[in-house]
Amino acid sequence: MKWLMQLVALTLVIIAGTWFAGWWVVPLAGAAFGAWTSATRTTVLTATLAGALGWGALLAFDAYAGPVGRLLDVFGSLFRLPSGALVVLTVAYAALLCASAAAVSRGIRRLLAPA
Amino acid sequence: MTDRAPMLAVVTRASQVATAMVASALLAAAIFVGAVPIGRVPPLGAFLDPAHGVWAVARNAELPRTASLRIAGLKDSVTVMYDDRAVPHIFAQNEDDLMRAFGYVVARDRLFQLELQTRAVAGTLSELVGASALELDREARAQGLAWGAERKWNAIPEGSENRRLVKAYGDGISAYIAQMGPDDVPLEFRLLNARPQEWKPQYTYYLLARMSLTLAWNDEELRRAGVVALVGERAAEALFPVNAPIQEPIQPVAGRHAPRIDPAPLPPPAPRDSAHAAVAAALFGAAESPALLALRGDASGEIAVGSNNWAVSPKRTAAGHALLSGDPHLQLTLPSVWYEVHLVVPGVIDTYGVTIPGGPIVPIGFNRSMAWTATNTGADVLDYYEEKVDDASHPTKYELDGAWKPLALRIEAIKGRFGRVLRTDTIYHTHRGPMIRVRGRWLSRRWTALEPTDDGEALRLADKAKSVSEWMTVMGSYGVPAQNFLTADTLGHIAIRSTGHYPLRPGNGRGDLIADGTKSASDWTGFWPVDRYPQSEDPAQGYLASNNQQPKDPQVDAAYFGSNWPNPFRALRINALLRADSAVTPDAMRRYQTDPSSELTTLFVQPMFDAVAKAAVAGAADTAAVRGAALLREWDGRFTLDNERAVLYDAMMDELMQRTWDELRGTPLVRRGPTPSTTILAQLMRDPNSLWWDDRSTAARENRDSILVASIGAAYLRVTKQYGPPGARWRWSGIRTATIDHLARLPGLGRTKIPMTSGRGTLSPSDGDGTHGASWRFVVELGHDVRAWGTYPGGQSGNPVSARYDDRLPWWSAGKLDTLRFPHRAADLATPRATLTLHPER
Repeated sequence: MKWLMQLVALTLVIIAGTWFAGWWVVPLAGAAFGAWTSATRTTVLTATLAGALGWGALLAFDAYAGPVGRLLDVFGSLFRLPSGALVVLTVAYAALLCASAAAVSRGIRRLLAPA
Repeated sequence: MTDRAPMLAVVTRASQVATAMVASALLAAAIFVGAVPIGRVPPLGAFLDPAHGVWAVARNAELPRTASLRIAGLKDSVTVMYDDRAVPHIFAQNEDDLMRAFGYVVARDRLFQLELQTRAVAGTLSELVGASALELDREARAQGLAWGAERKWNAIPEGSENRRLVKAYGDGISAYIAQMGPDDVPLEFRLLNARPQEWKPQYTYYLLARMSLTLAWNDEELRRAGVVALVGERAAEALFPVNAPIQEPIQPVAGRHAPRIDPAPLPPPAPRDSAHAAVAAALFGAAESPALLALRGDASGEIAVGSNNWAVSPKRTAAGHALLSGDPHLQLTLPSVWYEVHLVVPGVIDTYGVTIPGGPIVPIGFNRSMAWTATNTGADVLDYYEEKVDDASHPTKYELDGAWKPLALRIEAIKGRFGRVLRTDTIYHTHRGPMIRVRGRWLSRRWTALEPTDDGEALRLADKAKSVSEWMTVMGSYGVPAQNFLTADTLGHIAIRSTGHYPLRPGNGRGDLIADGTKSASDWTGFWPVDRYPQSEDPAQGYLASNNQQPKDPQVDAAYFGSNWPNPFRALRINALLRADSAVTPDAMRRYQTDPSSELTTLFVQPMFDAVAKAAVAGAADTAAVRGAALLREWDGRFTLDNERAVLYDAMMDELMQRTWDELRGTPLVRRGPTPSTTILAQLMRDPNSLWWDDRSTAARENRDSILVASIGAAYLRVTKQYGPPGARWRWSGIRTATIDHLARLPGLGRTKIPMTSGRGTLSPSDGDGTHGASWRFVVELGHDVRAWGTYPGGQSGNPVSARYDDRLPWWSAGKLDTLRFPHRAADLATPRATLTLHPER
């Protein structure tokens, strides 16, 4: 339950932070999460999921608000990629940013902790 | 066990360090690609950001139902209602506000287009897209387009109404750029990792310069000099004549009811030598620029841009109202060159039509009293002069009337994407204009487009004219690019005039020969007076038409006006249609725009049948020729979409042109020489044993009939090789298609394989690769209530993700027209698609 709460909270921070500030909030939020939550095996997993879910939710809103299908077609034609590639790339990029930042801060925390 | 615990701790520690290092590396890499562009890939963080990145392009693809904002400089509120076709109807209380809102609305839909076309003229594309555009930039700067536009702008008096309104329009564009949020950045800017540049009001004149490059660039001197080098003076004169051999002029000749044909035998080609071929190659190269090829199509072949317009007097229409049709052909792009708009200031202006983004005018359109449209005149308004300079490599002076005059220098530093100077060019100017160097010869160029005249003023006043006569009066001062302006009004008058500044030249007046630059006596002596322009008002024949043909029959006025005129076959066709119809309807006007027949086909098909029949009797025809001729006998002579024989005719004409004009190409140096017009080929058909029929690559001596037989045989083999045996794959709809590239040629943002009813000599001609065509088609009925129909190949939005980017293509392809909404008041628009209200700043 605690894990789920953490996941939801981090996802919401990412959504709000991206909307009001920009993409760079994602690694910041990931880093903060890694630094301040208790370092468990699920920290990086939670950050990965939160990054993907946060930007995934924003993409869902984009799809509701505009012709995302046409954008995907355009992107696919431009870069000669499958039309869904932009979705995968976006979600994966957020997941990578958040997870790697969380892993770095968790690692630093562990290294600084007394042996 | 106790010994192993520290060891385990060390291993764990090492593992943690390794994990942290891997994570750090991944994070650093992710942040790096997020923040820094790599090659052509924009910074991924801002690009992929689902809130403000590329995804916002989809979210903002459609106009919000209602929007309201304040912009600086407005005196009163302005209401903009977008109709169901996304056309903005702008209702303002005064012209300044109207222009400000106009600029704002255009920028909202077409910002990248504004940027790209301005940079193309300024020669700063490299700053946007990188060094790949360097040669285009060098060419633009050498042409002096921006230099000329700045001259025009500086010549407009401060405080004049025109300057004020152009500035207001520019302020509207600037207001949009200033209030644009990160979500509003167009897709192309995101892909290029760029932001729109600041807009300056003189960029309006950059746009006019670009139109002049498309429509009024005429370097016939270079082409002609190259042809002289290849085939001799007499033959060059006949292949690219000053006067068209078939005369169906724009200015009707009283009492004439059919075209006048002026047959003249072609003198044989002179022997070629390699030195001549080298000269020709250099001259053709100088005349053939990448930018011109893109704008006008293949300069070596027939002119690809083929516009039409015609108007019919009330006495020849079914409803008794004047009718007008406009059909300007240009390079097809997405977004389209045109943007539809309705401008209203009660009691001052109520004009609907198409505008080119960046220009605060409606060059083609209608108001409550009249309609107007244009085709390109193609007059010769650009001359070359061979100059004598003091130092061929680094000239500082040029000779004029025996004295040395200093050359003006223009230093052009072309920058790349990050401000680094890629190249610095020095452009030398004589008093005539910029110079170019061709094989060691220095040529200066004088061109009406670079003269400091204000062409926007006349067009702006014309938008408000109440009658044909008022329109003709205000347009008297219009200069560049020269256009065959056609008008009709609700009083039932129709008129046409080839309007523009035409140079008066000394001597025989010819402008297609390179003049002697060492004498001031070679200079222009003035411009034609307006009453000498080709023109006609309410002719007895009851209609007027122009199709880029020679405007005046030389029997009426022999003065030099231009040379190498486009084929008259479109003119022959529309004149035939209009002569035959004494009760024209708006729908007939629409059908004529995509009429599938050509007056050209019969000139070649029957002689080919006869030649094949004779060869078959003599046993000299191969199977392919016989089979090809048999298949072509099944053709109805029309270029309809479902036609399965037009492809064979088209291929035969290609083969015929190639085989006949081998004298103009075929050497390693001259791979792509200019091709005489089909009119000249038709003329040659009358002389079956002319030396021109001989294929120099064979030992035999060919004549017309053997070339015709060889052409149909080769065409049959080519078509069957490409499309298989006769059948569905020969269908014209799959072969002659439009190719509409994105303005910046970004792959995936253009549209290809769009079927179109078009063919050689039809009213909707095509250039083979389908990159040029009808850029806007419209019909206006000038009754008590003006009614109009129109469409263009694209859509109102410049956003490739918007449904409004290409929503008009299906109807355009089918030759259909939308009903244009022309409300008197904002409240008359029943179901607006969107509303934008602009208020003055508090």
